[in-house]
Amino acid sequence: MIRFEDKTPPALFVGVWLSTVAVAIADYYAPMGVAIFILYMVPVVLTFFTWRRMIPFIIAGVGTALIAMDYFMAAEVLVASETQNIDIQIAQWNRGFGVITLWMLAGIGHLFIRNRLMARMEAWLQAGETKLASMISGEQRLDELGDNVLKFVVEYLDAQAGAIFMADGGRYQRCSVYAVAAGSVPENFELEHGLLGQAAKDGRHFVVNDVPDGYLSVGSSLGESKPRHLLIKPISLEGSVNAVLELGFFKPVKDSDVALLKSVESLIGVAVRSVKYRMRLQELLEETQRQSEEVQAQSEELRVSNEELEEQGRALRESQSRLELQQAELEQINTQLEEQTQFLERQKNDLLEAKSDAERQAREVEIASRYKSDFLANMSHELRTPLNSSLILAKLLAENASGNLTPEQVKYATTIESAGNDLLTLINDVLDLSKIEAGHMEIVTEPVSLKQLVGGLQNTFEPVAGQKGLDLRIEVDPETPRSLVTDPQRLEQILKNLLSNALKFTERGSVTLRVSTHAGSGFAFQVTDTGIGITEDQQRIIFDPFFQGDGTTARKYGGTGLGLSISRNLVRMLGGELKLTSELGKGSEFTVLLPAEHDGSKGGEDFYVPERPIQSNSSQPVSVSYQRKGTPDDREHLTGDSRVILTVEDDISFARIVYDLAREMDFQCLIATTAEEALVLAQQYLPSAIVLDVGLPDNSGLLVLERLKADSRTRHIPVHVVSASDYSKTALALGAVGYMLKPVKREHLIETFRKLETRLSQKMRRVLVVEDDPVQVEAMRDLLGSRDVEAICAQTAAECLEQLERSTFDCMVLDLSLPDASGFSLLEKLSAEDTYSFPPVIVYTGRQLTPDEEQKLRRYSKSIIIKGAKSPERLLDEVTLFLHQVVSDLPLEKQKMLEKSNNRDAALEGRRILIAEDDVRNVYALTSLLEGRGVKLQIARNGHEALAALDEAAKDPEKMVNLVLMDIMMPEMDGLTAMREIRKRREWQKLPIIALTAKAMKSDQEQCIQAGANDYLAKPLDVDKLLSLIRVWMPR
Amino acid sequence: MKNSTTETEEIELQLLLEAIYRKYQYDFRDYSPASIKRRLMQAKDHFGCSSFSQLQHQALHEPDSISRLLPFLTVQVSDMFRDPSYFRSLREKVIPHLKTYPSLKVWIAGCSAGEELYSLAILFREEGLESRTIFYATDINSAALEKAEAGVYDLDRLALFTENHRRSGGKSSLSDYYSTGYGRAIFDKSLRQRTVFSDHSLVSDAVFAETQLISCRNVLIYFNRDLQDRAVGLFNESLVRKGFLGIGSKESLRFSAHADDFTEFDREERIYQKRGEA
Amino acid sequence: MKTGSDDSPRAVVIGASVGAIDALTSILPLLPAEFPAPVLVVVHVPADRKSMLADLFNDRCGMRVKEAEDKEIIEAGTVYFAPSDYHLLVEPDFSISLSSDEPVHYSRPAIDVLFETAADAYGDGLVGVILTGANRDGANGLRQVADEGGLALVQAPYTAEGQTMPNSALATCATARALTLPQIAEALNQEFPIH
Repeated sequence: MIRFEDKTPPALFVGVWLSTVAVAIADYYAPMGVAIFILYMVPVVLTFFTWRRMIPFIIAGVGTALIAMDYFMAAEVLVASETQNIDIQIAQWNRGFGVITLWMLAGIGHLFIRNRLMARMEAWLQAGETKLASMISGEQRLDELGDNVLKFVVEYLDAQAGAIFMADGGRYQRCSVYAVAAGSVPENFELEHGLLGQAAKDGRHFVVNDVPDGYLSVGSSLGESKPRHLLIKPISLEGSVNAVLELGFFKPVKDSDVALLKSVESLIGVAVRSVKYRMRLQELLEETQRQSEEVQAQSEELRVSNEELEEQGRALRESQSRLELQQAELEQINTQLEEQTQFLERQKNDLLEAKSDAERQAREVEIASRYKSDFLANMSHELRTPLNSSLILAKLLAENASGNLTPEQVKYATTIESAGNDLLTLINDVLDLSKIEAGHMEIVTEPVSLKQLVGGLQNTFEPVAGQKGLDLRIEVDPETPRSLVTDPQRLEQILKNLLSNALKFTERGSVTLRVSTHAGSGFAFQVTDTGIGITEDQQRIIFDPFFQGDGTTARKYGGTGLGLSISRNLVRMLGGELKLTSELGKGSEFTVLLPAEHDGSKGGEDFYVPERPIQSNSSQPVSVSYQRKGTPDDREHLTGDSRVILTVEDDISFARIVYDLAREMDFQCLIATTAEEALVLAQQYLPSAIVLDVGLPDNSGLLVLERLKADSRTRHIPVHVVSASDYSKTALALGAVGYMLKPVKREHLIETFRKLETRLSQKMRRVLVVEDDPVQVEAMRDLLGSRDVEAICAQTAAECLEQLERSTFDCMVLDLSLPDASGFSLLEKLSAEDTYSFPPVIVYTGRQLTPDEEQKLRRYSKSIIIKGAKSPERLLDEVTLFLHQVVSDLPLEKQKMLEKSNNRDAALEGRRILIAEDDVRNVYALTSLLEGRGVKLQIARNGHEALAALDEAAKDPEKMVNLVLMDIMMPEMDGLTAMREIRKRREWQKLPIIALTAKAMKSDQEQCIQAGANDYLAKPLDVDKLLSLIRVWMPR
Repeated sequence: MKNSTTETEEIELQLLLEAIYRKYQYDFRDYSPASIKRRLMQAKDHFGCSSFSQLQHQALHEPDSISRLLPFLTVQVSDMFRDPSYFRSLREKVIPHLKTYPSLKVWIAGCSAGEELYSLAILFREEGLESRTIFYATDINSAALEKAEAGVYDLDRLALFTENHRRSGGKSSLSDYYSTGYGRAIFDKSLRQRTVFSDHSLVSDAVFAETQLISCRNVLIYFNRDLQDRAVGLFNESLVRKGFLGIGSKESLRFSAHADDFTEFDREERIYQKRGEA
Repeated sequence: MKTGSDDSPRAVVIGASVGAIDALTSILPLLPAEFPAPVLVVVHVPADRKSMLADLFNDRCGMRVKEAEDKEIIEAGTVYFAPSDYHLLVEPDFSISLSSDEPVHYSRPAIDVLFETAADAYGDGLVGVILTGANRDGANGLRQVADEGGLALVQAPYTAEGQTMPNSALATCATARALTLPQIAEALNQEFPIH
C-alpha cells in the first residue's frame, strides 16, 4: 500500500520513539502514584501522522508493555520501601485506565490513518479515471483506444506487461499489447477457452500468482521474462463483456489495482461500445454510399437506355415516313411495270407468231428444196437418156463414115457432140449436187494407194498443162503414209475438179498438187495455182452452187459453177474439210483435209433424217446432216439394260473422245451435234446421263439444259455441262450436276464419268421398320420413304425375322416393345444366328433406358433414339447416315477386308508397267510400291533401253506394256527424246506415259506434255498421287 | 507511339507469363494480352509489388504464391442463368433434341465458381433429363472448382439469380434448390451428385469424353485466335455428330478455323450444332 | 496540339454516360466517312438488354458504325460501340477484346477499361474524350491517356447534362482541356485531317 502513503518523516518516528523512551524513563523514575505513563499518549498521538495503520497499535502495545513493566518495577520498590502512602489498588486502576485510554487512542489513530489512506486512494482512483478519460477522449479507432487504455493501465498500475482483447462476435480479438513477448499472447480466444475465456464468461477478474507457462511474458531487448503475477480483468458493460484486460506484474497484485480497474471498467466499456457504434455507423455510411453509387450507376444506365429508346422512337418515326414515301413511289413504279409487262406480253405473242410463221416458212422452204432436189435428180436422169443417144448419133454423124456429108455438116455434127458433152457434164454436176442434197450419194470406202491416185491425176492433167504451157507439179511429202481409206472415186472427183479449175484459171506459171500429213494422222491435199485468184468477197460465196465467178469469168472460162460446191460437199462426206486461201491476181490454194481412215460403212443411209424436226435455223441442212454422218454412235445397237450417255457436242473430234471414253467405261453413247437433236434424242432414248456442250450451232446448250429440266420425263437425268466459257453458275443453277471448262483433261472426264456412274449405281436403299403401332408405322414410312429409299415394315418380331431371312436391308429401325418379343431378345437372336442378315440397327423407343439396358443395346446398335418432339428429325438423320455410310464407319472386319482389297488394287493387278529410271533408289521404291499392288514391272535405265523394252514387249501380246513411268533426266537418251520416239510409232500412240520430273517449273512440265507424256508428276514422288495417276491413265 | 515504360511493362508481362508457365505449367501466354495485363495489374497492386518483375520474383520464390495469383488470372464473373434467353433457347430448342438420347454427357468448360453448372443442372432437372445426364465441370483453377463444388453464393446475388431463372422459363422456384444461413445460399447437394469436377485446361489438355452438349460461355473471349481455334477444335472432337455447343453472347465461331464444322443452330444465342457428316 | 508520330496507328476513345446520346449526336455525325482513325465509344448501358447505339448512329453518321466484336481488327473510319455487359478492350495488336471481368465503378462496360488498354496500345497516338455523366468512371483512364502522351479532352462541365464525370476527369487529369461539344468535334477533325 505504498501507493497512497507519503513517506513518514523520520523525525516523526524519532519523536515517537524518543517520546516513548522519555515517558518510560520518566515513568521509571517517577514514583508510584505519579501518572507519568499518561504521557504514553503522546507517541500514540504522534503516530496519527504516520501512514501505517498498525503503527498506533504497535506504539500502544509498546506503551502498554512499558506501563506494565514500570508498574511491576514500581510495585517491587514500593513493597521494598514499604511506603504505604500509595494505594496499590488505585495505582493498578489508574494504570489500567491508562492502558485502556492508550488503546482507545491507538484505535482512533488506526481509524484516522485508515480514513486518511482511503481518502488518498479515492483521490488516486479519481485521478486515474480522470487521466484515462482524457486519454480516451475524442474519436478513436478501436485499436487506438486499445493502445491508450492499455498504456494507461499498465503505467498507472505499474504492471510489467499487458494485453487487451476486444469482443468480436462470439470471440475476443487481440487488439493491443504492451511490452509483451511475441507469441506469448493468443491472437484471439473464445468464451470459456482458458482463463481469459473463463474470465470473459464469468465476468469476474482472476488473479494468478506464480503464473504457469503459456501466459503472457514480458519482452524486452534483453529477452523475455515471466511476470510472477497475472491479473485478468473482463470489462463488462450492462452485463456483456466487451473487452478483456490481461496484466502481468512482478509484484503481487494489490486490491487497489483491482479497485482501479473496477472504477475505470465502465469508462472503458462505454468507450469501447461507442467506438464500435461509430465503426458500425461508418460501415453503414460507406455501404449506403456504395449502394447509392451503385444505384446512381444503374439509374444512369437506365437513363441512357431511355435516351436510346427515345432516339430509336424518333428514328423509327423518320424511317416510317420515309417508308411511306417509298411505298407510294413503289406503287407508282408497280403500275408502270405492269404496263410494261403487258406491253412485253404483247411483244412476246407477236414474236411467237412471227417465229411460228418463220418456222412454217422454213419448213416450206425445206420441202420445196427437197422437191427441187428430187426433181433435179429425176430430171437429169430423164435428160441423160435422150442426151446419150443424141451424143452417140452426133458422134456417128461427125465420123461421116459413109462420106456423104459436107465438111460443113461434119463440123455441125462435131459442134452438136461437143455441146452435148458440155450439157452432159452440166447434167452430171447437177445430178451429183442434187444427189448430195437429197441424200442419195453413196460413199464406198476402200484402201486407196496414194501413188496410184497421184499417178492417175498426173496422167490426166499433164497434157492439159502442157497445152497451156503450164508447169504441173505433183509433190508427195515423204512422211505421208502410203495409203488411206476413203472413197477413191469421190476423192478423185474432188481433186480433178480442183486441178481442172486451177488449170482453167491459170494463164501462166504453175499448178501444184501437194500431199502431206496433217494433224497427226490425217491427209492434206493442196492444190495451188498461180492464176487469177479470188477476191475476198467471192471467197465467201464461191462454194455456193451455181456460182460462176463474175459474169465475165464464166464467159471466158466456161463451166457449170457447180464443181466447187460439189467438191466441198463430197469432202465433207468423206469426213474432211475443204479450205481456200487466195489473193486476187496471185493465185489460189485449195486444201482438202481428209482423215486417214474414213468410216463409211454406213454409207449414206442416215445421211438424211426425214423425221428430224425442222429447224428454225435450217439454212445448213446438209452440213448438219453431214456432221451426224461423221460421228456414228450406238443408237442402232442399244442394248436395253445398258447405261447410255448422250453426248451433245458439235466439235466432232471432242465428241469422238467422249464417245471412246464412254465406251471404255462401259457406257453406250449417243451423239447429238445440235440443240434440237439433243432434245429429240434425250426424249426418245431417255439416256442415263448427258454430257452437254454449251456452244452449239443452233442454240445454247443452256437452253437444252433448261428444257431438259422443264420436262418431267427428262428432269431426273443428270446433266454434266462442258464449255469453253464459264457459265458454271448458271448451269448449276439450272440443275446441272457438274461443270467442266474446256479444254478438258482426260482425267477430269474420267472423274465425271465415275461420278455419273456412282449416281447410277446407287441402287434403291431398303430400310426395315420394326414397329407394332400402325399409326407410327405409317408416319415412319412417310418419313423415311423417298425416291431412293424403300421402307418396309414388320409389326412383330416374327415378321422381322422373316423379312431378314428373305432379303437384306441397309438399315433397320427397331422399336423395343413388340407384341411377341422384346427388342432385346430379338437383337440377341439376330446376333446369335447366322441365318439372318443383320443390318445396322437404330433403336427407336418410347421409353427411357436404364444405363444397363443402354449398355446392352450398345452391343448391337450404334444409335439409340428416344422418341420425342425432335426424334423424327434425328431418326431421319441417322438413317440417312447409315444409308450413305463411308468406309470408316464399317465394322472392323469389313474395313480390313476393304483395306486388303484396296491394297491389291484391281485397277493395277496383273498390269505391266515399264519404269524408265536411272536412280536405283527410286527404282527400288517404285518396285516395292507397285509390286505390292500386283503390278508386273519392267525396268529400263535410259531411253534406249525403254524403247528396246517396248519393242521386245510388242512381240509377245502377253507381255504388252500397259503404261510407262518415264524419268526425264536419264543418261544416254533422256525421257523427252524417248517419249518423242515412242509417239512416232503408230502402235504406241495411245500408250499412256507418265513423266517423272524433278523440276517444278511449269515450263518443264509443259515440255513433258509436248514431248508426248499424258501426265507428269513432280519429284519427290507422292505415293498416293502417283498411284492415283497410274489408276487414271491405266487403260481398262 | 508507346512510351518506353509501356514497352518495358510488356516485356515484363511476357516474362512473367513465361515464368508462370515454366514453373507451374499454367499457360496464359496465348490469352488476350489486354485482359491478362489488367488482371495482373490488379494482382500486382494486391501483392504490393511495384512491377511485374517483382511479381515474377514473388511468383517464382514464394511457395504458395501461384495459388494466390491464379484467382486473379482466371477470375470469372458470372451469374446463374446469365443471359436468360440463352437458357430459354437451350430449354426450348436444344433440350427436345437431347431428349432423344438414352444417356447424355454435358461439358461445362471453364465452370469457374459453378453458376453455369448449377443453372444447367436445375434446367435439366426441370426438364426431366438430369437422371440420365453426367455433367463435366472443368476449370484450370482448382480453387474455383472447390467453390463450384461447394455451391455457396452470397445471399444478395440470389435476387438476380431468381429473376434470371424466371426469365429463362424456369418451371419451378429457384428457392426449391437452396437453403440459406449466415448470409449465404447453399445449393442442394443433389444438384451436383451427377457432376464430375475436374482440373482441365483448354490450352494444353485433350478431349476426355464424347458429349452431346458443351457450354463454354465467355471463356473464348480471353483467348487469342490460335487458342480459340484449339479450344473449339477440342469441342468439335468431343461432340457427337449433331451435338450442341453454346458460347457467350459476344463470342462467335465465325472467324474460327472450325467454322465449317458447325452450323448456327440459334444464331442469336450463339448455339451451334456440329455438322452431320460422318 | 500534340500529335503522334506519323506512321504509328492512332485512335479516338470516347466515354459518356447520362446524356450520352445527345452529346454523341453533336460529335459523331460531324466526323467524315473517311475519318482516318477508328473511334471507340463506351456508353454506360444496362447489362440486361442489347445496346441499340450502333443501329441508332449508323443511320446518321458518315463513318461506319458497329457494335464491337471480339477479336475484330480495328479499322480506321469506323465507330465501335461497346456491347452491353462486356468491357471493351484494345489489344496491343490493335484488335478488339471483350471481357466479362467484374464491373468497374459498377459499370460494365467501363470507360476506364477502354481508356487504359487503348492508352497502352496507342500511346501518344490516342485522343481520349470524356463527355457527360454522373459518376467518376473515365477519370483514371483519361489520366492514363495523358500520361502516355495522348490528348485528353473533356466536355466543359457547364454544358454537360451530367457534370460529375467531366468534373472528376478534369480534377484527376490536370492536362485535360475542357471544350464544348462543337469544339470537341472540331478538335477531332483538326487532329485527324483527311489526306
